[in-house]
Amino acid sequence: MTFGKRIKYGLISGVLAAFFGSMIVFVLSESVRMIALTGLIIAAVIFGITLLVEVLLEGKPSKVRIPVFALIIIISVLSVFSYSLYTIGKRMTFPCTSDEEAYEELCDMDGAVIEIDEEGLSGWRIPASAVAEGEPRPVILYFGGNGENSSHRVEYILDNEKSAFLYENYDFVFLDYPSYGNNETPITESSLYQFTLDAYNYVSSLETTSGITLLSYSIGNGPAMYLASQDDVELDSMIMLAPYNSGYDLYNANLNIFYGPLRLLVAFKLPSYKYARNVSCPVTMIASTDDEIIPYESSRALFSSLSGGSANFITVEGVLHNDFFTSPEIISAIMNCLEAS
Amino acid sequence: MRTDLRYKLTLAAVFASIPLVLFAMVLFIIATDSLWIALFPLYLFAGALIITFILGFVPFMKDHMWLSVSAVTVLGLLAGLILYLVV
Repeated sequence: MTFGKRIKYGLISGVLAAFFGSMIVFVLSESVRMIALTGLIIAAVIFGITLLVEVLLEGKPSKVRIPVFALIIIISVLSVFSYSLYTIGKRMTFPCTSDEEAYEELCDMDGAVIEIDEEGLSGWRIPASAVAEGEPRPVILYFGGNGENSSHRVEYILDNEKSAFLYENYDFVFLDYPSYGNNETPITESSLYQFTLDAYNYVSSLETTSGITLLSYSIGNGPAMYLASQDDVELDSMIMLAPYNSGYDLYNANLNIFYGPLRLLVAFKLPSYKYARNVSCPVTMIASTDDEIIPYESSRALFSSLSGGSANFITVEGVLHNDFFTSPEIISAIMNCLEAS
Repeated sequence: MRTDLRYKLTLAAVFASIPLVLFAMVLFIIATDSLWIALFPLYLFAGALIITFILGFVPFMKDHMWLSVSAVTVLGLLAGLILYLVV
């Protein structure tokens, strides 16, 4: 047997072993099984096309066969590249976190928090500490960042004195996004929007609710803006921390290639600029010029899309994206907004 | 030019596998955040290539290379299973 033949057989078994060895891991792992099965479908399609082309090109000269197979390779790699980009983007935008430890600890805090466990909704409500039980009080409905889940954030708020103003005169409600915490609904852009409506309906159905203020941070601004734009939704005000113009801006802030047809690879388009036109409640936006995740320009662009109601844009400097809830300047701005609403 | 069915099937399988192996590496990075584990498909590829190449010198196997390819592919599958069970 020649050296070349040994290499050829080695390459064939190398590719097949790498393929089957990797795929068995993914198919067995529940978290990536669906992604892997989609990958297998892509592989099956490429397999079928290659086989068909081989049959059709049987007996044809190399100058015909080689370009066709080169084209198949290019298309295959592009399809897999696109699918990988789509999958990574989706995972990075909504990494779907949960915090079992914080959840268990909150469950043990009798009276300090109320667990929300409705159909399609899971999360926590911190009752207003300065309002008597059963008395009407306004509610802060919070839409958090993509790394947050309700248990983790609510535990942080309860443990941190600086955050006590959030539940002094207000009930503070944080519900998990689909696929976060105990919410098992698969996350898509439409399920996210439906979630905001369900969350609003839940809060407004509470007998003690006298008004609703939306507080949103980072990725939560997209769903919040959608909710605020709905005709049958009545809000006292909106406070948006690190808002963004659209999902494209978020993707481009990480990898600046999502233009033209590549926009199709953006899983969460979240076009806040469109919804902003229909928002009629007072809106306050707070953005940092040093935010390394949400471009400041994107926040400004969204602000310019607002057309109804009163709007206020607050610029802060030197605050990084993950420092919004520890910045005295921002905490003070939120407190002022709450007092004014 | 070889036109037998086995050749066609193998070529199609290799064509289908190459992009998916690249995809598997990306998926490993997402799922584990570990570059060492993300390179698992590459280890499999290199290991299978070397083993098959060496089998080409073994008296019986060098006349039955498709048996070597099948055996090494099954070994790759088992390696994946072990990775899943260990990690």
